[in-house]
Amino acid sequence: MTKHSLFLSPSRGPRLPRRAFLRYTGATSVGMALVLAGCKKDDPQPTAILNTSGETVLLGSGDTALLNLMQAGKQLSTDLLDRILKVSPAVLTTNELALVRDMQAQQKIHRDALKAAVNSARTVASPQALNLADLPADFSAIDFTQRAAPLAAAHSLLNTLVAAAAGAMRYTARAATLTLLGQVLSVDARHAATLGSLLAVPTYTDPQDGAPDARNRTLRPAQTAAALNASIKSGSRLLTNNLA
Amino acid sequence: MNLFQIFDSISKVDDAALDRFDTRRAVFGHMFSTGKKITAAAAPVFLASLFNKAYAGETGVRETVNQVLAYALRLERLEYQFYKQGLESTSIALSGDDRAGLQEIRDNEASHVALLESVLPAAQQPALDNHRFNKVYTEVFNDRATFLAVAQALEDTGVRAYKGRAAELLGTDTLTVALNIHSVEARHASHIRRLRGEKAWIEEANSTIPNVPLPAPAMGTVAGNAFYQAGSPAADYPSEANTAQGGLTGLYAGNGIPASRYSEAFDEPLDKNTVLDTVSLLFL
Repeated sequence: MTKHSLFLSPSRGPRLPRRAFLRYTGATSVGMALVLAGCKKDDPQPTAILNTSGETVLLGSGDTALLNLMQAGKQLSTDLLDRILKVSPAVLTTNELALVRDMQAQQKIHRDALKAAVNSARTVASPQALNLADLPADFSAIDFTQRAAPLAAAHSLLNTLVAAAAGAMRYTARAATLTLLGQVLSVDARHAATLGSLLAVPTYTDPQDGAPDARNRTLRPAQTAAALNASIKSGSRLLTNNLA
Repeated sequence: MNLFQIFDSISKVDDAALDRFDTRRAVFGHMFSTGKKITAAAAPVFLASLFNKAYAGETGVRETVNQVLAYALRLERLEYQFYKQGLESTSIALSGDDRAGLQEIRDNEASHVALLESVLPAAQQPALDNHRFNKVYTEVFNDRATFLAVAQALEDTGVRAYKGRAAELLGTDTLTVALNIHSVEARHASHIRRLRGEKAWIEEANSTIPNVPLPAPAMGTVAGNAFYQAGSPAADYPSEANTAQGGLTGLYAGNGIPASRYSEAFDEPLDKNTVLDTVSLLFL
């Protein structure tokens, strides 16, 4: 069992009948193999499920999947801004560091709020269906000793999260989930604009918007997962084939 | 390998949502083609056709969507007029950088107005408001600080306004369009706030928008923080000091994060009546 696989946290959901089990495995991934962690029934270590390539992190389905997808983005943004704070302070001004510190704290709050929402009956039909593990980020392409590159990476990631939230909200089933994602979305837009201003690039739009009428773009959940996967280490990337 | 362990694990993975899988997949297929069209240059045309197709026969849904769009149009026109009048004024001391940023915002608002006008049948479009912004904030078009303060009030309230009606668009493609505008408004708010030396995000319900006495014969004062207060009902439209997002009251309590930090991580929705009451404070 690899370390960076998805861990399903223990929960007390009802067992699925065998037919549902077959549907589940078939629906989730063609050729998917279930790999059993050698843990006992009451072992506190959760059981992991991997696909044959070892590249799959399950997000669940319905609003659970959307919350987990956005939480995955928040894990990355929290991590990226944290690395900027740790590695790049020499190349940032005091004012810039203060802004990054604020944004990092807020992104972390978002991450934890989305994680909690997966376990709340207000936001998902079946709480605690699937908790996302800590995803190992891969920011090896970013030179954190430079000023512009890490800020540009953060700007791009926040733009992605703005577009991702619009796409995720399109598919939410519950109003409470919609509200929570909306409460986060506009703060991400404020962050994206702030990062843009530090880079002296357009602040009201995302370079990838493409819309001629002053609208930000939308990413479908599968597109979001693919975009996030570029910053996640091999072996722990998000499964996209059951996403919109 | 213990098969029971696998079954047990699977049972923990998912829930009744599995039953909707095929349905959802069909929906996704539809949305995929829709998504491609949305990015096309002819967005207004697409929107109009989308409404006609998606809501033909669903009068109630279409009516709701149109009402939300009419509301959005009213607010966007208000914002556009505000920036237009401000930029036309020769007595506001704006720097070149100020002006460039504000012109771009004005043009964004004009685009939003044009988009909304293109999708709303003329009969459904709201009557043009009389935008006398200087009735209360009398120096709004003479003084940079007042102008930017009112701009902040408009933008932050605009963000809350879109958010406040998102639930009415749940499950419609119009939601996506509204959200794509909404995030641009949030970027405007961020820019204006930083021009004013403010944080880009809203800390609790704090405000640096000046309090002003109402002109005669009205009594009382327009409080600058009126724009960050709760709407009605407050449970659904909390103030910007809210720390119980998603009803998750346990998350904030006792985790050592200051309320100010927690509240600034989230923007809050505001209901239509409160938005209109609040915005009307700017041009009584």
